[in-house]
Amino acid sequence: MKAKVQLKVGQPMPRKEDLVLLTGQAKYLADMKLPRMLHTAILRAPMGKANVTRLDVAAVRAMPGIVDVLTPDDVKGKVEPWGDICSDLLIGDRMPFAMGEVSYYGQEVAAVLAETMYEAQDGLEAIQVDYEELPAVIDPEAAAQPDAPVVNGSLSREFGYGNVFDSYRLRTGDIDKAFEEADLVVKGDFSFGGQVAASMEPHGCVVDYDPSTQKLTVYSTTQSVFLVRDLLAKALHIARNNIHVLTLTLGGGYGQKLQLFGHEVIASIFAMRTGRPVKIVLDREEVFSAGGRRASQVRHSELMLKKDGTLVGYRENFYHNAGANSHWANQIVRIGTQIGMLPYKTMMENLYIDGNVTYTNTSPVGALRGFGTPQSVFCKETLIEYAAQLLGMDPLEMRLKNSIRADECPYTTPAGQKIDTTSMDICIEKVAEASGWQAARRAPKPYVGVGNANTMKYTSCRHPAFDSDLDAVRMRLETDGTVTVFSSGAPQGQGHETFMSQIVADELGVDFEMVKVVSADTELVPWGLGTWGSRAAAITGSALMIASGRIREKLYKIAAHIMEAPIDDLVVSGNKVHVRGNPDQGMWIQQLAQLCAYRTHQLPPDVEPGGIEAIATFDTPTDREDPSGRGNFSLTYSAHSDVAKVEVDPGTGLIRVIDYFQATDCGTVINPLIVAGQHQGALEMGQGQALGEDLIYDESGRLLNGSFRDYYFPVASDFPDLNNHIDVPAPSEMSLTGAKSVGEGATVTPPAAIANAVHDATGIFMTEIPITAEKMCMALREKERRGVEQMSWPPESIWVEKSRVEGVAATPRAAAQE
Amino acid sequence: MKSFEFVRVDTTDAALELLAKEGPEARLIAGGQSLVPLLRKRQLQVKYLVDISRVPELQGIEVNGGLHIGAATRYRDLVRQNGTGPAALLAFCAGSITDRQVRNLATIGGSLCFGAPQYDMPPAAVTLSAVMVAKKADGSTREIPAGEFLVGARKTALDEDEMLVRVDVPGFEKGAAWSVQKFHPHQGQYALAWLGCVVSLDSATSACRQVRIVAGCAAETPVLCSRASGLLEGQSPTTEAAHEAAESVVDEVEPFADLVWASIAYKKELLRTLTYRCVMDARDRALKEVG
Repeated sequence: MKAKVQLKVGQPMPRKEDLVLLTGQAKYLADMKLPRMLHTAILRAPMGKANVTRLDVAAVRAMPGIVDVLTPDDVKGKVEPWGDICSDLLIGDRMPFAMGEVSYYGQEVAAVLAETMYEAQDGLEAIQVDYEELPAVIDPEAAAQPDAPVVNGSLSREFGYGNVFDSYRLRTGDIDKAFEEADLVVKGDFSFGGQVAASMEPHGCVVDYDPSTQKLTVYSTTQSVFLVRDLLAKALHIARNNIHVLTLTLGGGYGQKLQLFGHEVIASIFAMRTGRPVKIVLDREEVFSAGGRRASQVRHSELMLKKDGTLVGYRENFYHNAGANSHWANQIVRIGTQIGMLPYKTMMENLYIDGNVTYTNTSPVGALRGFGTPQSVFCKETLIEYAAQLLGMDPLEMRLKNSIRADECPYTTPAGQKIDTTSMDICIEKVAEASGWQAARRAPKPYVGVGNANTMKYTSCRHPAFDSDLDAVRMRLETDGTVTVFSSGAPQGQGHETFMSQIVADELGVDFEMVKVVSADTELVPWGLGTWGSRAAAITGSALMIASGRIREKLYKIAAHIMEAPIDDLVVSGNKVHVRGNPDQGMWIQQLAQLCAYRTHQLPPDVEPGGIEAIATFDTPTDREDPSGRGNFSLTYSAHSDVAKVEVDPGTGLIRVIDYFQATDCGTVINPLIVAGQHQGALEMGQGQALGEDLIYDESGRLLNGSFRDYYFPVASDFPDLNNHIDVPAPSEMSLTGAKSVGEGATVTPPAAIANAVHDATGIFMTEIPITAEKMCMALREKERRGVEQMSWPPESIWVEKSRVEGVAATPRAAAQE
Repeated sequence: MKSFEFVRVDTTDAALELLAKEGPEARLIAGGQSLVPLLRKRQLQVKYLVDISRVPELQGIEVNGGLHIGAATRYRDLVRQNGTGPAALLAFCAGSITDRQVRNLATIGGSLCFGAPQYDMPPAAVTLSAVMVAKKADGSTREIPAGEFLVGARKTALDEDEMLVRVDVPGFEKGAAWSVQKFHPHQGQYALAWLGCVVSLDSATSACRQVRIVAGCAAETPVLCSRASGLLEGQSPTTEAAHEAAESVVDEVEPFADLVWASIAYKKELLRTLTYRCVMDARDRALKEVG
């Protein structure tokens, strides 16, 4: 039992990580220098699709400072293609270079190794390369057509067909019956752009190879050290215990540093060929063009409902742009789509969804904050907005009426998600109240509008591809009473050391300051999946709870023996183990640790002597997908209800988010400062994808905006007050910390909430994300020209397929998906 | 970035001597806000980079009826002026671009001489009827009206061995007022359209005496919209007149298509909106002037 003393969990503890960051002392990969270190630079393809007809590097080798050159011929037959996120997958479509055929702009063509970065770049300029350019496919729906050019002829296609390499089908109930019984069916054609994370720190690595031991040490910017280690080992045929992967301070990740990248393989090969350390830090264009991005999508969606606003079914056929390789894409489709159907329970009784994962000649997608849910939530929430307008209902009320309620949990949805607890309905009510929703709807102002959107976001997930959802910690109680936690997480700014210290302080009764966390080092930390999917507080935190409990039990055994006290009466607090209610007596935890290490004859016979250590892994009790796409993928689900207030400038189309409110359930709040920071950052990323962030490719697959000069990237003055956030905790019964996910929800809802607010402000449903000022302006002009009250942009992109509602006429048309 | 020789000079003569000797192998650099990104990406390679940022004769703003602005005067210093009329217009323009880091380094001459279509200073100079003072190695100087200074995207009227040393800005006539309206999709981004307007009103009739409307950032070089300006001159600056001027600007400017940021059609919409707002705002300010 723990003592009921001042607990650290729940307190706004200032982050332990901040001082070093704010004083500029943090060591990032770019700061790294090793003796005799070399630099590599990569020649990248300048178009979307081409045959490499000539690649001559002879002139490079003679240049000053050049040490080595690597071409596709050097790796052919030696490097094993690697799959998307884990070893042992069917998909192995990734090589360090374009193997004769370029399939996206920015793909690696050759690499140069030199004494300095500048000499390496000089070397790139001397490479003679000829391309025979081929027609590229950019649009995922076009790529899925039978007559589309093959994106990458050298890929093996073990499943799927043509450019569609995988598909996800979700089926519940009877969609035809739902259509039959529906009073109103609304449909829409939607599209969604390809945002990038644009972490402040670009991707990179330093690889050190020791020829005497043949050991490879990889300093990476990865979010998952074991993922990099295991994939690299497999690609290069090295024993996994002979590769050491670790990170330094990471300057952001957001999901996009969650792959084995070509540059890591190239740097490793160079290090092994020369026996010298090799460094590469990608520049911004390389990050934009080959560092992962959000999957752009084309979706054809159909919502079915009754006259009273009860949602009864949802049908969707969509094309998910995987880019030229499969990284994460099929995972994103499954999780993003299935979770994206929440929280409308009767709608989920009849689902018929086909997600087609298609290759295109664009940058391979990666994971990115939200992981496919922003796209599915946007389409669904826009159609709800449309249906509510047709029925003359308040869209927020309609959503509330259909939502899963707190008082019916635990609840299993028709799609198989097990909702242990939620405050979804309360979040909707609270956000409406805080944002003045009713008043804003009653007294509309010209070009000012409010919009609501909701989601219940995953908390990590059992990834369908590898059937695992675990993380692990090892803990050691040191002989001075301090605690070292070795975590398989790879923090990128989430404050792991702080929140873990809070948990350990409570669980072991030690001071917050006495806990230290070591992360992301394959030789120190236990095997785990790493940090992504908003999983640390719930998953890694649960492992920490188990490990803490094991250490506490051992302390109790020793203390009970020495103090001759009943073990059940013991508690921890104030760095002591003591009898409940008697904190002045008892034994210092430090003393107990020393006894176990140095005075082993005093130990009870059933206690193993030595350092007091524990290791624990927490794997979530979640499901794999069943043949109908159903299953409980996620440990628990965090409710998120947003209200956006926007003002549209009718002259320029500029949309300003003038206010934004969030009400969320992230379960037990371990540290309110960290939670608030996550909500703020997520909202900024959400607003960016709503209003402009998008990688733009021309028809030949050239990336047109691979820099901060050309990429829409909102800055502080573009954002509203970020502090309008209400916590409505419904502690999880599935995670041992009670925590649910935080940090992604506010990236999921803004495109939908902002689009709905834009509709409220202008009468126009914007069905393409991002909603740029240009699109808005052109839509407003068209609306003036037509003299209508309501329309969609692009024109006729949403419509009424079927209506039994008085005053609402159906205007069905042959939809693109049929 | 490729290696180059960095030469810091103390006088314009030293800079001009290098330009005359090395020709296009030498480039002047002041704040580096345009050149350095190009050098980094190897889109520009030079043998000599001649730093003129600390040349005393290129610094500072002299107020003397009008303004005499040294070519290496930083945006920061333009922002910090407390003047009215042209000084206030320049302060507004300099303060409206990107961020503090850029404004602390960027110079008025750098913006004018680099002459990218998206820059704010070239249309501001045209709006103010500024005169560019250029100097050659032989010590001779010549004056180039701002409207003739840029001859194309990133192309100036300067000869290879010539440098901009000063920007002379005449003072406003009595009763004149200005407005600048620009549109960028997010703070820090280049403007997609930029409108400047200087209007003076007849104190008796409140009709427009002189009007100067300039469109920037949409086309490759700033456009003095003389027809739109002429439409307003002698007229009462009503909303109808402003709309008419706006339609004229849309006709007078030929925007270039920007594949990432704005189509030609959208730029024309922006020009229409911004011209109207610019004219109305300048009128309101001018009405206060004639009081």
